Amino acid sequence: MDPGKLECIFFSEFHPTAGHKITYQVPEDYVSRELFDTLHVYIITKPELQNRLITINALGRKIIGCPVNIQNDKYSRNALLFNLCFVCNASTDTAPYEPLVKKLANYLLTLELESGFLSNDESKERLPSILSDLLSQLNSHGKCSIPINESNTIHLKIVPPTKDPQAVLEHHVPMFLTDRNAYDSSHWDLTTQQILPYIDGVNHVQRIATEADVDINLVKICLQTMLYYGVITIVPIFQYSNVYITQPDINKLAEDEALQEECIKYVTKNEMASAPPLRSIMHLYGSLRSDISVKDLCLRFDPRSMNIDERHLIQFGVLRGLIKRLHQYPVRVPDRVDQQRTQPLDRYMNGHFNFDEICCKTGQSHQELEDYVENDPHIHVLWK
Amino acid sequence: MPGRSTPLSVILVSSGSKGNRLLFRYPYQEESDKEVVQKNRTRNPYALQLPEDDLNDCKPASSIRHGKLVGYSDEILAHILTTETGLCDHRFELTIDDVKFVGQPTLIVGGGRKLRRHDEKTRRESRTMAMFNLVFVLHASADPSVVGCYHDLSKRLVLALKHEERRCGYLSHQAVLMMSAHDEVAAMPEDAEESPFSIMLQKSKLCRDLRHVFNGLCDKGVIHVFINNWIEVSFCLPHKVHNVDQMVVIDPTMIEQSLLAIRPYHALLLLEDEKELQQSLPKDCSPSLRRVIKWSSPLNSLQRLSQDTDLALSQVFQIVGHMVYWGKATIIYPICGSNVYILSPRAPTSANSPYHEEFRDITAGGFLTEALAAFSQPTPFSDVMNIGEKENEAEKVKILVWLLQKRLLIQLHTYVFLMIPTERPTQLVNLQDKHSRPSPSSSSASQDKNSSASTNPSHHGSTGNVADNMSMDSDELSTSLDSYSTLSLDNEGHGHSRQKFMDMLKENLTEAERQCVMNVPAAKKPEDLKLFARLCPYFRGRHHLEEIMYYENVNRSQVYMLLEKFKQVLVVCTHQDAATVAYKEFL
Repeated sequence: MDPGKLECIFFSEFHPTAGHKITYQVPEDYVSRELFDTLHVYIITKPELQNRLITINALGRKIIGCPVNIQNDKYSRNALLFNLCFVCNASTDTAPYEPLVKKLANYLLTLELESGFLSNDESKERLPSILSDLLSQLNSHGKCSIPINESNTIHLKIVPPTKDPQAVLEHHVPMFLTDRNAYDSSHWDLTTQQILPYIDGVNHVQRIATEADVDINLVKICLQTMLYYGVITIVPIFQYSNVYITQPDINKLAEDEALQEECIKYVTKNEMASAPPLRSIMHLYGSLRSDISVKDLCLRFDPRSMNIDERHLIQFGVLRGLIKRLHQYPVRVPDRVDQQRTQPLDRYMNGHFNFDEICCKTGQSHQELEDYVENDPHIHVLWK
Repeated sequence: MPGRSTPLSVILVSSGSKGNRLLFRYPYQEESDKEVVQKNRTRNPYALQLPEDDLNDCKPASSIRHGKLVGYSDEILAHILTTETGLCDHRFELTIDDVKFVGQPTLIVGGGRKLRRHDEKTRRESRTMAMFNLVFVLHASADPSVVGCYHDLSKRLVLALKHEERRCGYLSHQAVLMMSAHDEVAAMPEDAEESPFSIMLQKSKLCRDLRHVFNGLCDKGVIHVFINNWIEVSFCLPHKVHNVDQMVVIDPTMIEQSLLAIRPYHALLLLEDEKELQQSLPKDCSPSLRRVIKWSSPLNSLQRLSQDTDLALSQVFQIVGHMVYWGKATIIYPICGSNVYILSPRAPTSANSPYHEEFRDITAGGFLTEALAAFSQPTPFSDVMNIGEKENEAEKVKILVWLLQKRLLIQLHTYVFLMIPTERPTQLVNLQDKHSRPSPSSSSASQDKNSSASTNPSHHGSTGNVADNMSMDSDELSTSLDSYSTLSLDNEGHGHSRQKFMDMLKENLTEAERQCVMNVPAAKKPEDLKLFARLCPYFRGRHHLEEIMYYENVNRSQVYMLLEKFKQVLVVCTHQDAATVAYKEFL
């Protein structure tokens, strides 16, 4: 969600004689006297609401503020009340601005406590220019650094709220979304630098940890950071026993020519030979069903003879959401005859684990696990 | 952790000649909470003011505890929720840290001439109250569409209250009851534990109604109250009804879009027992609604339903849309043997989910895991084994209906794409663009299994050749058509119909595609080509087979045969109904 622009920033305070008022605002006269009078309850507030982040959405405006109250005998009413507010359009998502308002309030509080910035008329005169700098820099760059005095600089950055990245598990395979050389690896921390060479879209997390000789938990944390910044993505581990189904987005491949080109380029096995026709690629994707594994697909259609690399075919499909991996979850139905049977693998047969996880945890091969499941009539396999 | 769409509290405030008053709040604070809150809130006047505390206090204490609003005294709530006249009759939305207040402040105006003629008492009471506001307290992070719904609800209740106030001074009367409860408690000795709000709940009908509203919202998201036993207010919070708390972003228009995706070939699947549903309907509801519920069956299409109930299809659509919105029903493709189902990505695989118990009850001891395993493979429903008793169709359908009601299954549909081997169109494009580039070697064509493409004489790639080829094809077609017309019973207008379907092909396909289609051996047979021409607009992956069958009135075997005959130029994909993916997530 793209945050809307800031419309206005104003500084309001409780004046010893004039009462609550807007002292400075940029641009001038954006918030009218009437509007302010209607809303002043939420801007210069009662003590109960001070130092809280207050957003009032009314009359087509959203005003975000954090009222501050400094009590000290030196002020004419024994307290200084002020609030620096951001104003946006009513439909703007203000969540990204909220931490900024809070931080600004704390900056002003610090400035006032350290040097009496707001109570000194001379330094207070600088506020309008600071406000206009804030407004223009935040709107154009999304961040700003405004030096105030030798010890204080206002650093702000709009961080759009992002979702937490998915958890990285042992059997996941990290993969770069763009060319890895585009990133200067020296910018990463040392641990990440150590694992970077092993991220190739083939190795799974556990293997990366072993190969790079890094603790697996550290690897997971590094990968999660990269995932958060959208540098890598997680793809399911590629195995010939995997099963995929097509997704509605497959239509994009039929319609989007740029995607077609990219896809053909990516799946071509031998770049010297002629590129595979789209029809063959589409046909292979279309043949993916939940009862056909990649192995079956290869045996049936022999993608290599069409100059298609099946691994790249699957990777491209998963990355672009054209296809989706189906996981198999073995579930053991409570036995009616022998209750006290305790096989070591049985504790994984409760539907919480899929084949990949069980293989990773127990070190069994996929085939061994399949045989085990096959031989027990009480174990059912659910695909989802 | 309650979901983001559950309200934290409902508050009624008023303002008038007696100042701002908080009339009612529900749930009111428990005593244990109050102590903690007071520890936080009340400031010891003798304590040192430490400004550093505020600095370090980056994360203020949450105002939400156990899904309830805490930390706000009645006075401060009354102060912030009664607004200046300028804000009245507008949407009111105030966010303080992690709670959001949503309401509709409303002025109680003199009420026009009518009220002035009213008796003295009413007028006096109405004068004591100038405005009131009914506010719902939500999580600050609630989705904007949720906030919108709550505002809507607040507006409805406020309107009903305003009307009743004007009609008979209902709100003023109730306010007097609530005030007296406040006074009663104030008059009690200080150690009395009685809360004024619990007294109100006994005395005031409006308070009980508001409690009912709050509980309804927390429970199922459906409300049905009569304000003053007179004005009906019913409301449904779709987010709660459809249980989509876990979805992160909800597009407010999603429900409307989903309802637009309903087609005549869909079927209505009731999510509740028919009898219970009939009983829960209000007494004055439309008889058409009752009829639709009575006749609905997951086996029959809406079109059939429209015939059965003798209602216009558009009306059936509206009723169905209504029921879907209220979470009483969902839309599926009618159950039939050829349907292919797989497990929904959200189906619980865990062996101890609550569904297991329920499943055991409805199937007399069956195992849900077995049923889910049976649907794990994409087999047509008629071939699904191991569920229910052997050879008992009714039992099988019953299980399927249950699984669909719980949304444990999704249906796969088959989509068709017209995809021609690539060698030829590039060649054609090159020719059309008058590029003097040598045409790609025809040897690569052999890689594709399209025999007709490689045997075609137009490999040599000159414009003339293509044209020749065209004419040759059409010659062949006309000869075969002649032989066909002698066999056919109606030999009138064949030239016309041939022209017609050639035009259809021309309209829907590119030149290169048409070329390839005409080269398929089956295109030599006019009846096949005719059917192909009819169906080719649907071969862009946008329509599933069932939709094609419905729109073009063809049966499944015809379509399958056509797909088989033209498989050189067609690609088949199987996936969920694209139009309803979002909606299946949602509903």
